Amino acid sequence: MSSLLFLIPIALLLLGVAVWAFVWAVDHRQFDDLDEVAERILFDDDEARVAPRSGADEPDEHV
Amino acid sequence: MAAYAQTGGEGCFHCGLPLPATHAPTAELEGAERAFCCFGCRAVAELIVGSGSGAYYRERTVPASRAEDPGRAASDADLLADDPDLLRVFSQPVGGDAREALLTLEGAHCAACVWLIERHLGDLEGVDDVQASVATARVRVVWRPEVLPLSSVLGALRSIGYAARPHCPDLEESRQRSDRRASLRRLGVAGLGTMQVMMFAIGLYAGEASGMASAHRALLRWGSWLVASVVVLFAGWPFFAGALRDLRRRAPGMDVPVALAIAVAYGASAWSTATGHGPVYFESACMFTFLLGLTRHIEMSARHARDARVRGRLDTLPEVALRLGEDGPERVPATALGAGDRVRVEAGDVVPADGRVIEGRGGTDESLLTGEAHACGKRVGDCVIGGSRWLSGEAVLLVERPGAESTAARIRALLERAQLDRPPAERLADRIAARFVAVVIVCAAAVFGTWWWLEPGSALPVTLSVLVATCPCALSLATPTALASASAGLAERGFLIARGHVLETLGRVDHVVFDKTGTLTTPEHRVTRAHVDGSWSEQHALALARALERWSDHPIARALAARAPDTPEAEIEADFARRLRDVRGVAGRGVEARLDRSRVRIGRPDWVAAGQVSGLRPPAPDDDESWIALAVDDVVIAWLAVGSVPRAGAAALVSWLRDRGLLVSLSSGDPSRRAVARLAARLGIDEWRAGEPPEGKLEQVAALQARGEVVAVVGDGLNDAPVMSRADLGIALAGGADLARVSADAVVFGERLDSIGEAWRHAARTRRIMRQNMTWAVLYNLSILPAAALGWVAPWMAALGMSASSLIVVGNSLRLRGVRASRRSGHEAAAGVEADEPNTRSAVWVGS
Repeated sequence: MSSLLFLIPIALLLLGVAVWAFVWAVDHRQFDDLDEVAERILFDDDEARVAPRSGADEPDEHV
Repeated sequence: MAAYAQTGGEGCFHCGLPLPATHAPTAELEGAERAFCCFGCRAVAELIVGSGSGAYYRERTVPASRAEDPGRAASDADLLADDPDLLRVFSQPVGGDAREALLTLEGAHCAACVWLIERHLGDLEGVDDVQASVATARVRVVWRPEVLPLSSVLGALRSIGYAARPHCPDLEESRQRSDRRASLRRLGVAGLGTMQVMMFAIGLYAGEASGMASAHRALLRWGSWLVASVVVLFAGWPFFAGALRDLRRRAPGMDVPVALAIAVAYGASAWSTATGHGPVYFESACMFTFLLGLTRHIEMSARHARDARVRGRLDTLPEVALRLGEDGPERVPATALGAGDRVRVEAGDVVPADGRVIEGRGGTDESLLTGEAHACGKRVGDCVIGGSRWLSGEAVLLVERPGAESTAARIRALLERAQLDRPPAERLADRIAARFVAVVIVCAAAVFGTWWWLEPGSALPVTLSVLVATCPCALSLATPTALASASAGLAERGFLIARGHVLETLGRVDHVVFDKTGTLTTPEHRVTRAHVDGSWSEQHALALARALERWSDHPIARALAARAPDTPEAEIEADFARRLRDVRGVAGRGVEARLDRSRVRIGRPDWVAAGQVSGLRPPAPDDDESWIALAVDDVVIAWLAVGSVPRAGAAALVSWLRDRGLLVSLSSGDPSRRAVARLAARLGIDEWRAGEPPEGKLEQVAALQARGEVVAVVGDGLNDAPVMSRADLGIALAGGADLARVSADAVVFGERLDSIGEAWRHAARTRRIMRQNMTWAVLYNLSILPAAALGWVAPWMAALGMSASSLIVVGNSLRLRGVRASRRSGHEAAAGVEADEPNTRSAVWVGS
């Protein structure tokens, strides 16, 4: 039973870490949009990406 | 996710609009031949597929908006986005040389758009982070202005078919966002803390059963106390603040029993922990805080989502405008515009203020305000609403109402007023809840006294249960949540509620009085009848008439020009247009031209058939129509009647109202009895009056009200304003211009009257859901009270039950929004689609 003496502080410490992580996530917009993220999994990212690499020639071509 | 059906041959591959009859642009994409409505769409699709993002077309659920030609030069507005002074207004530095800006996005409809935008922009050199959201129509972009100017980011968005512009931070919006984050932080802390305290509680219960050293017990209790203190003080703070505010106003709301319950549970437990005697209820206090916070958070998110959607529709004025000053064009912030300024708009621009076209012509998309997605043609003299999009052509506008006076700003003010104007049902619910709170507190005190006398040990937990279980949260949430989601849903369909009582009054209305011109009929003229000589087909005659009138700016020409682009006549018309030579407009008379070797004329009959009238005889003249004649070589081949026609959905609305047992009457200021009678007969209205001045209408409504009827008046603005304020319910059709002076309770946007019927049905649903909510809340609270008072309900069970009951109410209310498709089809089935509906939709109505 004396294990409680250090188990409880450890539990409180872990709780503190979890709360800190959650607050960090909220402040970094992880919870701002919960709808579209759910559908994002449906898109494959493994198709060939031939998107323009340079921003400089982009406007000349398309704008 | 039901992907948007890609039907191939039927419409544009990119935007789904009908293809031009001939020479539709095509391209081979991913091994298939695709057709497009315009080169803009083709260029966008080629770019999207070419950059390896073809998945967009497979996964999207909604077709894209029609794209502009990406080949056009960067607009001035884009370039202005690079102006360092303006950059400081709408973007913030975020470490290093990167800046963060919010862009207002147009044309994004589904998750596929978000994916496409994030992927396309994310690949640009100089863009560090992109986050797009369809719900709020915003893109957040973090970029390095030194590497990539913002105008290039906007250009890249345009190249894949989305219009975007910098968004100035909105105070209300950022306040709501920080509120939401704060609430989420509280919720997370409460949730995690509650789990920990519950674990300690299990240890305490187990220890209680099997015997535990008092030192260990004290340790577990102090641990619980520490966590519970954080939960109660940090996460529960809004309840205490709310209760204090309520008490100061002497109007006890639901925060009072909540705060009392949390404080009693926490205080008693803390006392027991400190003295080492008595039970602890830390876990109940935490759980109650968490579950209640959860309910509040869901309710707040729903409210904010509604506001964001309404704001998205209204927050449309661009940040910059191209003003034509003394010394040439200059770019100025849109807020600096004043009445009388001249501004230039080009295809793709957003109109910076309400104004009038003084030069040029083009089409606008006013769907943001009206909810209708078809182009409105604008010519010299026409009004243009600020915030609408200029789709084609180029024009100079004379600013009439900039910024705060613009239609968009006024609608916004109207909505804000509606939000402040609390509906009677809500006030009643609040009064009931306030009484209920008083009863709960008295009951709790009585229960505490009784138990203290019988069995002091159980007095505290039983009182806690009573306080928590009977908290009238669900009761207070029952009406506001339902009304909020209902008005959000209606706003999206073009029915804006300006007064709180509308949804309730709609259910009591038993007589609807319609105005005629501009309300049941279209404000613009259309071709109503055509008499064509036997040698010509009606189709050809109309096509020739239109081909001629293309060259005229006369209102009657507009009646002819209004047409759907995909009718078969379009091709014949184009053919005529090619063959016409020497087209010449004669002011006040009509248009003259050569068609092959013949002379053709259209316009006033006396001019067209100048001198010798031959060919068709003119049919009997009519009061509400004017005749124009079309002649080939002085032989009249067609008589066209131009007049106002019933609005789309008018007959359906009238018959639907009558089927519901409502009285419908028509009261018109039009002096022509025949015209009014004919319209009444066509729409199936038995009771009509012609030539009524505003005072006459007022007396009529007063007389109906004296008979005990609840009267709704549907009118189109200023001249109906007095009668609308007299009626129990005034519904105005917004032409956009005189909204500020209209004393209407609700405003209908758009050409069609459907949304009025929809509002009726929606109101009925809202009242039903409000009743369900109230019944549930009252039943639950009444039935749990005796059980709690008898000590059958543990505090934690009470907390669970109370929160579940609130969640049921909120969830029930949320059913009132976002069921657009099903309700629309339901409406058409219910109202019966009439025969003239498709014709009026395609704008040229030819009756017989």
